[in-house]
Amino acid sequence: MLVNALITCLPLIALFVNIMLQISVVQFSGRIGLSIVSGLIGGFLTILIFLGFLFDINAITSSQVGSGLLSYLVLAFCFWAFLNLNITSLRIRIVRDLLKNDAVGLSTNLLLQHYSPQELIKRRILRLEKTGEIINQKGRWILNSKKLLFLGICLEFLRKLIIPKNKKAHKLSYHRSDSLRKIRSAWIQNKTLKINSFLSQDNAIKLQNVVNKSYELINIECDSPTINPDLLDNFKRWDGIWVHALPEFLTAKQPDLLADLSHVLNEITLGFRNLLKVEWSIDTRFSFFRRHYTYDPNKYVQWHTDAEAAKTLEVSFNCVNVWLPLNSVGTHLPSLELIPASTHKMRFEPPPEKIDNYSYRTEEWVKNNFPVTPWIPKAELGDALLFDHFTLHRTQKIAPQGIRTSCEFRFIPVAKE
Amino acid sequence: MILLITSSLLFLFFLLHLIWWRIKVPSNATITLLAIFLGGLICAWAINTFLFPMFSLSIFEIMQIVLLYLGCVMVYIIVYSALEQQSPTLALISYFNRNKEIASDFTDSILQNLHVDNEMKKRLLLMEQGGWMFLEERKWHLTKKGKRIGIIFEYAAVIFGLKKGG
Repeated sequence: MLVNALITCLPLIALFVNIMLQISVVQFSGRIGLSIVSGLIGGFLTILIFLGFLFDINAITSSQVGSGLLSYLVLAFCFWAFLNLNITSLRIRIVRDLLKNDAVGLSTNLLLQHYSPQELIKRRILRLEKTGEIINQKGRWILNSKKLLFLGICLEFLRKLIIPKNKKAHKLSYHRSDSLRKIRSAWIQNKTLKINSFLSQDNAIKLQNVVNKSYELINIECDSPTINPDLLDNFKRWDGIWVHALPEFLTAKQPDLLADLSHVLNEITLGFRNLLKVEWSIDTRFSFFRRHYTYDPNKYVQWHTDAEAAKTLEVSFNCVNVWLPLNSVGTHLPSLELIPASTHKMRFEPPPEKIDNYSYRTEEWVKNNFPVTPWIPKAELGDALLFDHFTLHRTQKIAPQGIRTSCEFRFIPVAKE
Repeated sequence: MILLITSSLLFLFFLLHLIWWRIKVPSNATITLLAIFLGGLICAWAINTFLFPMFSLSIFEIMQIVLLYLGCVMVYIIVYSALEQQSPTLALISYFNRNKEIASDFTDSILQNLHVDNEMKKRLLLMEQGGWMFLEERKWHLTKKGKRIGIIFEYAAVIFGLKKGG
C-alpha cells in the first residue's frame, strides 16, 4: 500500500526536488542554465534512488517505472515552459511593466517605445548567438545549428495538420434570428456585418422619435447659455448630437424622452451582447446621432477608420460601431461603403497624415492597399451595420438628394478593475 | 498497462480534437482543448466503471494514469499555443535559413520581412480581449486577473533569478 502510494507520488516528489534544486543553484551561483540542468538531473536521480534502494524492484512493473519517469519528464517540461514565459513572452513582459507602474499606468506609445521592433529582434539575436544557434562571421550572421530550424519545421507541419485554414467565405448580411454560430463566425472573418431587424419596429420608431425631437430641442436651445458647450460644439460643427451629454440636456428639457432613450440604449446593448460580446458596453463618449446633408459637399466623409478618425483607439484597442440608419439608405440616401475584413490589416497600419485636420485615407491609398469592390449595404429603419473600429469605411457616393439621419453607438469592453 | 491506457486515451481524444477543428476552430482553443481532454478522461472512467468494465485498475494505477495523462495534456496545450502564433525567434531562424548570410546591420531587412512591428500591437489587442488590461484616460492598467498573473511571474522571476525578457 505504502509502496504503491509512493510510486504514484514519485513524479511529484521528483518535480519538487527539481524545483528546490533550481532555486538553490540559482540563488547560490546565479546561473540559470546550470540551475535548470541540475534540477532536471536531480529529479531523475530522485526517481532512480527511490526505485533502486527503497523499493523491492521485483514488486514494481516496468509500466510503473516507465509511467513514473515519463510523468516526471512532462511535468518538468511544463515547469520549464512556465519559467521560460518570463524570459521570452512579450505578454508577460508587458504585464510586469504595467505592474511596476500600477499607480500611473502606461500609454500605448510608451509601451511600444519600451519595446520597439528593433529591440525585439536585437534581444532574440543576442539569445540565439549566446546559445550558439547563430554565429557572427565577418559582420554576417550565419545559422550555426539546425536544432531550432528542425523545431520550426516540425511546428509548421503540425500547424498545417491541426489548424485548418478557414477558406469558407461567410456572407455579410444576416437577420437577427439567424444562428448565432453563423453570425459569430462571419464576424470573426470580416469584422463587418449587417443585421436586419436589429431593433424591433417599436424600438426603432422610439429611437427615431428621440433623435428627431432632440434635434428640434437643441435647435431651439442653441443660444441658451445653459446648454452643454460640447453638445453645442458637435451640433454646430458637424450636425452631430453627442449622446454623452444628452441625458443631462433631456432631464432639463424633456424628461419623458430620456426614459425612451434609456430604454432604446438598453435594447441596443442587449442586442449587441446577445450577438457578439457579452461583456461590452456602449461608450457614450464616442456615440453620436448624426444628420448628413447630402447636398453639402463639405460634409462628405472620406475613407477612414473610427480608431483613427473618431479616436476610439484612445480608449480601447477593441471597439465596435453599431451604426443604425433612421432612414432607408443605399438607394436615394447614402449608406456606408465598407471594406469587410480590412480591420485585420488596418489595425497594424501606421496612422495617416491628416487631410484638413482629419485622419482620412486617400482614394489612391485605399485602391492600392485594398484592390476590392467596397460593400455598400442597403438598410432600413431598425437594421444595423456592425463594424470593428479598424474597418475602412466612408459615406456612400451618391447623387445628393436629402438628409440622412443615423446613430452610431460605439461598444468597448467593460473595464474589469 | 498504464502506458498503453494513457496513450490510447490521448490518441483517441487527439483524434476527436482534430475532427472538431475540421468542423470549426474554436475562438478559445485552450478552454476547448481542456474540455475535450478532461471531459474525455471523465467519460472514459465512467464508461469503464459503470457501463463496460474493460480494465480492472487499482486506485493507485488510476492515479498514475491521471498524472501522466494530465501532464501530457498540459504539454500539448503548451505546444498548441506555439502553433497558434508563430514565435518571433523561430521566424527569425527560418529567415536566416532562407537568407544564408545576413549582414549584422540587420534591422531594416529583417524588420521588413518579419513584420515584427506588429507583434506588440497584436499582444496588446489580445491582452485587452483576454481581460488582462484596460485603457483608462489613454493609459493601460492591469485588471485584477492581469495583476494576479503579473505577481506570479514577478515572484517566479525573483525566486528563479530570471531577468525581464520578452
